[in-house]
Amino acid sequence: MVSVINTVDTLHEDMIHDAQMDYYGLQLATCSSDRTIRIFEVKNGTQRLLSTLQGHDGPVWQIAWSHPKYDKMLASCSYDRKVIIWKEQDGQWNKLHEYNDHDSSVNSVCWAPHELGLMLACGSSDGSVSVLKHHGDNQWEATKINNAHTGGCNAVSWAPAVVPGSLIEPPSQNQQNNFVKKFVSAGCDNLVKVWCEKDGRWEEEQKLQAHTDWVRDCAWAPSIGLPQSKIASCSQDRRVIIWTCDEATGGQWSSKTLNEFDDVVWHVSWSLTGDILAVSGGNNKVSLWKEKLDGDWSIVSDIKKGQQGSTE
Amino acid sequence: MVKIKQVNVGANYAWSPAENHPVYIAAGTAAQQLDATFSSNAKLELYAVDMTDDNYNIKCAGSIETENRFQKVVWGSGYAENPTTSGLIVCGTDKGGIEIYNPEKILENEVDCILSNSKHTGPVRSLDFNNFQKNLFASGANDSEIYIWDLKNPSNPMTPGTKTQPTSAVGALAWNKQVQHILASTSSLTSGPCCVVWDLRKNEPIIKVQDPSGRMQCSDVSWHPDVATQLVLSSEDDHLPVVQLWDLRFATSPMKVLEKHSKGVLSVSWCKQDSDLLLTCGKDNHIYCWNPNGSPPEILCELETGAQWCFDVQWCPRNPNILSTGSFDGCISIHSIMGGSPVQSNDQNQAQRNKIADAFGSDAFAGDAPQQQHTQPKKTIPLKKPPKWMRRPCAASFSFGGKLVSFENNQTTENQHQTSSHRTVKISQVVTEVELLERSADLRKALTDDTQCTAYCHRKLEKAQSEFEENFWSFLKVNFEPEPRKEFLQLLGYNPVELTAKYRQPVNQCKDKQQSESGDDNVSNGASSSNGLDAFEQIAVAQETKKQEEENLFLPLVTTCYSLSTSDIDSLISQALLIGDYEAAVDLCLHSNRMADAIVVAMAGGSKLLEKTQKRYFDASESKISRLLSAVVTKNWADVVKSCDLENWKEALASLLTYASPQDLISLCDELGERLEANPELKSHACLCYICSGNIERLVRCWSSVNSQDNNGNDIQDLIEKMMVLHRVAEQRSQGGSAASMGEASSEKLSEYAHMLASQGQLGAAMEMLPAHSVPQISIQILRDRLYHSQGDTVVGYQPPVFPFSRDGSRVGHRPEAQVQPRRQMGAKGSAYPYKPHRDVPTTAASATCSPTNLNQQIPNYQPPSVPSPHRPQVNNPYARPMQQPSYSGPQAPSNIFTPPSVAPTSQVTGMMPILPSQVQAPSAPYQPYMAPTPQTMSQSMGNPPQPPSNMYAPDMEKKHNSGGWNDPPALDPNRVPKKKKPTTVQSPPVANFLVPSQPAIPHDVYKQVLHLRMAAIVNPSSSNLPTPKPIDPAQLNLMTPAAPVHNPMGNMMRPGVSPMMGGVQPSNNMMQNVPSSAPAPSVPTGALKDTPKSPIPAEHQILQVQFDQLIKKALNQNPNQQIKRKLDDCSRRLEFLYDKLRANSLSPNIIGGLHQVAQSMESRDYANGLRHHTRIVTQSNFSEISAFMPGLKSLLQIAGQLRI
Repeated sequence: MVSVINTVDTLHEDMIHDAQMDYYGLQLATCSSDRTIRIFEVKNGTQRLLSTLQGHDGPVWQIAWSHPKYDKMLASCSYDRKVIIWKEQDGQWNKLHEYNDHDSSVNSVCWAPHELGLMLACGSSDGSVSVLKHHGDNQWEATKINNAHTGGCNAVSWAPAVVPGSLIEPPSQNQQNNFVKKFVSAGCDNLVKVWCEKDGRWEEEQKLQAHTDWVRDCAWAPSIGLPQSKIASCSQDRRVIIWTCDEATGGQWSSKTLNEFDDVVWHVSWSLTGDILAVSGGNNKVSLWKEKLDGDWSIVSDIKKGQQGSTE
Repeated sequence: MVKIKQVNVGANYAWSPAENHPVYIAAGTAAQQLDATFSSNAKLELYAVDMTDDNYNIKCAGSIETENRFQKVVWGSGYAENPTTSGLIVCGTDKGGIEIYNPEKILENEVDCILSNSKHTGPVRSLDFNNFQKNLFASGANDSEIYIWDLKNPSNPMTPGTKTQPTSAVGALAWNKQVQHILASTSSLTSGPCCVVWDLRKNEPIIKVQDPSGRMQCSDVSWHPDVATQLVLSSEDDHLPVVQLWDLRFATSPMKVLEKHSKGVLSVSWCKQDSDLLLTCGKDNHIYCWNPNGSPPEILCELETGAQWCFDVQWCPRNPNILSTGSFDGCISIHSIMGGSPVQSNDQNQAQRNKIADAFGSDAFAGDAPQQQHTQPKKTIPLKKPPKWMRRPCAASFSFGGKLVSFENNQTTENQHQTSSHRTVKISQVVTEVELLERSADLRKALTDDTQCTAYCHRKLEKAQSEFEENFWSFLKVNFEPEPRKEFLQLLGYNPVELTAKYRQPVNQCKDKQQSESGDDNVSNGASSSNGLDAFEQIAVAQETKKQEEENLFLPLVTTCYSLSTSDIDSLISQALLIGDYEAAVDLCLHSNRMADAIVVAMAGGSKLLEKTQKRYFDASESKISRLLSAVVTKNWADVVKSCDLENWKEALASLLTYASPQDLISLCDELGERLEANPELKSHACLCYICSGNIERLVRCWSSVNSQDNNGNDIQDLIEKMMVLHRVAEQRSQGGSAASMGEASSEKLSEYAHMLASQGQLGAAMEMLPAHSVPQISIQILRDRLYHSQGDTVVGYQPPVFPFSRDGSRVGHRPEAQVQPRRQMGAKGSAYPYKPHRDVPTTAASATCSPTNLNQQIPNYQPPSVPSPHRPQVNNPYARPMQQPSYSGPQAPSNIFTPPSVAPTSQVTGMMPILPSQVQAPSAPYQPYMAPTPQTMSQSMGNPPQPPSNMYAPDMEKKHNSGGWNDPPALDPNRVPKKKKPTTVQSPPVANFLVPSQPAIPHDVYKQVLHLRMAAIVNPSSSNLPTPKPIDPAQLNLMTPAAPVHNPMGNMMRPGVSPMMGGVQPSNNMMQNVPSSAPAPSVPTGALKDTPKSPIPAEHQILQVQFDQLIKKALNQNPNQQIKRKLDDCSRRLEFLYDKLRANSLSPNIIGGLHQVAQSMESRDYANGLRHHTRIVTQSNFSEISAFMPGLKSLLQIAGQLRI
């Protein structure tokens, strides 16, 4: 059951490419081909434009809110090859940092889990992935993985913060330094890759091969207390694939095709409880999927284009 | 754009179709070129364009030798009857031949020419596959020859119509992208039409495009990918190096002309995926990417070119990010339009040239090549505007609370960005667990009050699917009955009323006349036991009854109703004992010649019974003492629990329910449950034990292990329902102390449940379900914070939770505020970020010592004098969120310092303040239900029962019980005891039982025992009009206290050997020293507090006292009955604890806030609302903090509601 509770007219002058709610679900950020980012306060079915962020010279592809523990920050990436980190102070949004070291469009930004510190992964069409790490005093150290995806990287998504071998229990305070730093990336080489930081260097831990065309998006599922990692990827080949890795099976990844759609699949998003996957297709169709007990995936809701709500 | 790969071959080539994966290039040796060796060999080769391969030079994947060289190569996709899945490669040879190859065979280097046809007379320069019917392709050659081939019948090609005149070579062919029977062909002649469009249905040209200037030498044609009537034509004439965009609806002149090339244009390629991208290459050695749809058309990008100009440019059908160029220097180059760093330098180019040069031994051919110009990989320029396939048209992302944020862009209006559809973002609520929400709402409603809850249990019971469920709900339900223990017994198959009735039957028949009074009494009371006199007489009667008869009477009962393990006399005795029917037990013992048993039981049954039985005992008999009997007598229930046969768990539980003291009951039930849990078959029954003990934590663990298979929403709902109902029960009983609080497992489940509710958008419900503030799990704190803030600025009835993360943000991007930094380290290591003070918590006596001016010095050393520990965490409160509270020097600062103690648990969570609230509050909180009042009060209330000095301790102990029980009916006035000496009173089994153990400890004290027995027998709780006349209720113990001196509900204090000093030899003046050593939490004696002068309650809270006390006074003025009066007394006593806490300022702000709300409700006489606030406080607070006074407040509210005052 999906019911529209708020329709926000963004007044963007061109296509919207991303829309994200902040941590508490109080503010909405949108970005567009009109090169701007807009921040709205969304409440009880109404919206109020709080700010319009200008600074990119090309379409802005993605935005990502920081965890509130780092105050209100927003990362944006654009076709103009730039990554901009914005910060709100007293209701004013200002550019905090600009990262210019990509040779092509930056397609994806994703903040690391807050436990890992203030860290941002950026995937670019130049094939590389950058990881920006904040060292205090607005010093951002960039680590670049060159040629992560030949033909370009389309998406990055961090793994939830876990301590190795303890996916079952949330780590205690003194284990904090043992957090595994991992993210997944998807690219035009039709691959999904898992990266892991070892001794301060990013290494390709896994190459997940099953898609036959560009992988448009990938999303690491939130940890729900099971000793299992789960990644969803979607592709130009119109398929959504769920990749799972059980600790028990010794880190072997297995893939399962969730569904083959009738158009390119652009975006996948996990619900915060990790049990529902929202799949957005090129035909402007959003469908919600849930894993059944037998491990198959079934559709729970199909939101058609332009539809106000949808039936079960 | 950047060149990423190359194939070192001079060839005409074709990309594999879009459907194919992986991507190949089929390259046939170009007829028009010669390589450096002047070889006349011909080859058809496949090259895999693998983007994951880092090599710059693409290696050949398959190669075959062919007879002829090629003018044109195309690759058609597979079709239904196609023998191959990878499609077919069709080549036009320079000798008029059409050759068809299977690419799969080429990969195996196997020559397998499917078809070779030489229908054409000249070199076949143009080929194109139909976009819709994959089995059709067109070929064109000299003399305006065009054939349409059907791969299903390739021997008989047809013509699209009569040849165009004047005839010329057909340079290019293109099928329309929208209409399948439309084909365009070009002519290089300037004299005739440069392009003819054929309609194959009519077999004739439908339009002939003629350039108005008449100078168009058409080299290539490409249809618009989306618009059926538009096409572009390229002119290879150096004098007219243009590309024309024609719309056939207005075919008199080109719609647009793309002018940039300086020499003739050789090839065009329109991007199928984005019609805003058109590639052109010309003899001027330039390759441009245009947006032909722009007004005017604009060049988006120019490609890097090599030494020689390109004769061909093609988008990769599958991957539009890459394109290929074929150049005359014998090289196919692969470019990426996305830019990025060139993988390799141009060394490879150089190598190729060197190879050529080597072949000649000179620089002859390489001379005019602009070499070395790209030694440095330059930053490439991407397209001015991103291609369509980069522009994400839609996305739906989840956010907190099951919200889905989605947007969509209407693709058809994409070129006219005027529609508003691309501007809106929708926020939707996703609900996937409808049933869960319904059930959750049901549950929350049920939890509002007892009636609802009982009805809820009832509904659940009716709907129960399994016996297990049924048991579960029956057990939960009876908790709301006035006498849960008795009901438990019934559920276990022991119906005291029924049993008693059956036992009595013969007796009553005989005694009807004489005993009508007492008989009535029995009936009206629903009494579970009879009095001593009755017993006496009954025995006499029973003696006359034949044993056989009795067995006839009891056996069916046993076998049919109660599936006990045995059906012999033992079991009958057991049953009688289990329900506390001593007379019957003695009777049965006597009949089975178990004199010793009879005597022992009789001792428990009262002095008269004992005397009688003792007499009979001397008459004779052998005996064997069953374990049960021994347990009853020695009170060693722990042993029963430890060693009983688990198959008889019901009996064990029943005996516990009958006999065990409240404290013991909990631990014993738990122990029994534990044993059951260890047994896989009986595991589920353990849950029932935990219900009896009210141990939520164990219940949850047990449940989880029983139901571990699947973890779906309904399962957790099932569990939560039980948990919450039991929690409510435990809250009521609440004497269990720990039982009412949530442990780790239950908190985890609750938080999981709250997460689920939140994920369905039920933020408020989720908040309600969250375990109390005191629960330290960080995940719960995080969820609470998120739930609270996501509901907007203020959530009615909740305090803003502490921000559960350490703040790192203030260091990012702006200078840390000087005042903030150092202070953060002072307070609890600054890890717990104290929330902004939403309300000013009144200054306490302690805070008065901190004046605003010397605040900074005060803070680090500040220790609240009255109750030090729990306040420590508050110290970090001054370091409020910098952005909101940048300065502390303001006059309001002091009030911030003492922000709510609810901070305490959280700071503990973050690991910095390991002070458990329960620990620190123990001194001031009457945590233990049975507290020791001062000796004075004890002796005052002791009254006048004659006690030998050696037993002095006992009444003291008993008296303690009177003062502490939260929910107990007030103690009997000792003076009333004598009045109760009515012959009709029934004897209470538990009391008798409690007396027994003292025997081994003080064997010499038989006389006193007998005395006590008599006392016990004459006090008749069951027949009195006391509110809770339950023989097994803790309350009962208190009622019996004056006469049951040695009983000790506090556990093992009185057990022989455990606490010898309590065993009766210590003089009473040692009492106060002994109590602390044996009682778990010696509390501040309330009496003592009353005697010492107290500090005033902080002014802002005095309203609480005023309200509460007023209400009590009002209630008393209504002249309520004794019962209510007693309750009110209890209330005032309990409220004293509250006032003490207020004086000490030791209550968390949320509790205080709640109390104020309760007081407000009182003022407005909305007692129901008051009760709701009460419930909320109880569910959200630390149990130990509030257990002393909340029950009192509750009964006050209830009474007020009843009296309608």
